[in-house]
Amino acid sequence: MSVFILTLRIVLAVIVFVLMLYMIRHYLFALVRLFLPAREAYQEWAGYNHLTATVLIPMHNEERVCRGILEALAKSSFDFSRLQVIPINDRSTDGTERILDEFAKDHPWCEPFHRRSGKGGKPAALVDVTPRVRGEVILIFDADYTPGTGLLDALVAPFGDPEIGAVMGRVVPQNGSVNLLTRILDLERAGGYQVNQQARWNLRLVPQFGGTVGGVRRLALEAAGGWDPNILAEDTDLTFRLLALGWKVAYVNRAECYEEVVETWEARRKQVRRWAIGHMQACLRHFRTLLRNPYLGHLEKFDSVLLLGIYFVPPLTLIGWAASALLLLLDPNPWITHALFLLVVLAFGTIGNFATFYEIGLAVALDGHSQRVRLLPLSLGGFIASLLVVSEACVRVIWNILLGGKHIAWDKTPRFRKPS
Amino acid sequence: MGRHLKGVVQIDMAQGRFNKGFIPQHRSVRRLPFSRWRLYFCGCAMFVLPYLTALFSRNVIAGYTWLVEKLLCWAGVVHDPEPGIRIGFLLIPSWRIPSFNPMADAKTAVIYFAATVSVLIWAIASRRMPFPARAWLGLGASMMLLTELVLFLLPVPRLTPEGFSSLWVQVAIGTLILLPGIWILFVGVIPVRFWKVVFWGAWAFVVVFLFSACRLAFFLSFAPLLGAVWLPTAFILGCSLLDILVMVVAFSRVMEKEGPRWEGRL
Repeated sequence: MSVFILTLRIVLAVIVFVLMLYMIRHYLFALVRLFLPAREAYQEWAGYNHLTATVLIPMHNEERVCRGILEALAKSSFDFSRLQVIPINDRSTDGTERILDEFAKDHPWCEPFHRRSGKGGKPAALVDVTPRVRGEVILIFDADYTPGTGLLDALVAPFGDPEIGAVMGRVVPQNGSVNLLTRILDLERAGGYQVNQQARWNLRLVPQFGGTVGGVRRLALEAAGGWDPNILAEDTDLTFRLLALGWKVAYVNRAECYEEVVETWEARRKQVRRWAIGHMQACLRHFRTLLRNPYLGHLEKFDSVLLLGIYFVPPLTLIGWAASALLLLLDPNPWITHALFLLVVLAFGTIGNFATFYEIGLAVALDGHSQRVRLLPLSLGGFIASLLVVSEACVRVIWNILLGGKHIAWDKTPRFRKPS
Repeated sequence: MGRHLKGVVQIDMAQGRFNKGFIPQHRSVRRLPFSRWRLYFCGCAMFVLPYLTALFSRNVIAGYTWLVEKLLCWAGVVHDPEPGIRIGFLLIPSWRIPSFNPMADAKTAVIYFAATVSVLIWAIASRRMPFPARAWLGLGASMMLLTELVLFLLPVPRLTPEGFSSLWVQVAIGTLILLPGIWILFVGVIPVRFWKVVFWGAWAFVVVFLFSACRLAFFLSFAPLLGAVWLPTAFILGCSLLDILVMVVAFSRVMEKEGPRWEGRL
């Protein structure tokens, strides 16, 4: 029994240490975003370089939203002689194909690509469409996004810097006021982009390319070996493949694009599960090469390791809780148990899942939406839900590894917009 | 021309110049004035405040004990104050309450075990229930299952109501000792009027104190009925999460009031 208790104490101590690392990281990010000036404001270069761009929009049964994004792109301030837009009709069985073809008749820059068979999922669709791409920069949007007039210019601008391999913009929910879940997600997005991504960019660490509202230099993509259809988080995978080749990822906070966040808990569960599995796959694939990466400094590597491992924190937290509970019931030395227990709880309360409570509070205030911060306590519910979903995804990934890499299917995110 | 001029102005604004009365600062470049001395002060206060709270923790424990006693008497719960345990210079109180251990008897143990497993399966399998509700139910049932197993394997449980009340007081006092330090670290460094930092920090402290004592009395009053299985579950899932929630509420109130001042009017 004493060996078991000792093991539990060690496990708990290690978990508390890891959680504390994340807590310090997020605290510093929040202070850096709050007080320090932004780095190079690439958005100010918008319109001053003449790179050609291709916009890719993967669509699978997107009849509700596909016309919206194309109409928004048609109002773009980007020079259309340098623009190619390819909406990818990925095996849709609804009216997506008809809507795309109708739109393309009046807009020569729109070149729909109809994909009628093949593997499902966004990465596989991107692989198939890549030979048609003519632009020097590839911009990617999900079908439910609504890009603003100057967004393409703002996203292409950083590629004027030859070091930049990928660019990420800011995602802002447009249906945040629909229900409690969308309001909580609105808060999470604010914390994740306004504070977390911007602070990483300010500190010259590694902002993450998120696979949408972002772009990648075609040359860099080809050098990295193109998209990988076998991974669910093609964005995280590409980020670390680009880093391995010495490219940098830029974050442009001013490049805001509006998205439709999921409106039901079940859809949220599937979405988080897909992200978690993909991110863990990327972590297992890139962890070693990241540590040996000669192009990254020590701090960049350290932060990248924490970034890669972020989806392992929820299962670790659950294990920490279980260890705390067992120690609570078994350990004859309550003081040590409770010091550790308290630390676990405090660390959990501070860290949150994807953006900390502290980061969210500051981000919402910086955004000028101070009344939304009243919902901050409710995000605890969202955190608990994500904690369990990510832990389940972790079990799934480990199970898959043990069973020899069975394919995990891509769960399509449902759309909630009323058909136009 | 217009776009170019706007761009130049925004670059300067990002450096902190021309940020008043011209073009409103866009939220993507908005930031706040930094006070090095405030950061130093709060950094030091983070270590000093928990020490001060620890110095006064005897008074805190005395007040806590008095409040729980009064509440138990008011609720008419038969209890017997224990001498408590000594940790360093702190005397942690506890209360003896005759309670029910369902795991001591084979028949009730099987019923409890079966009921908990059923709830757990229901929480995992049910698709009609909202996911957050399933998550909470699943976590609660898992904790109860763990407690039942431990109680079954250890016939003399450590977590009797006396032990439970003592543990709860320890965690409450630990939280109250750490709370001022954490508060000053997170809220003190941001440009918020200092009296508000103190006021809302004190509010969180008092609410955690009162809330924690009331919850302890509430759960102890159910100890005769629910006994050793429910108490740890309440302890793990209810106790500390709610204390943190109080801090988050206080933090969100501060941000709600202070946020509008940050829009270029500091």
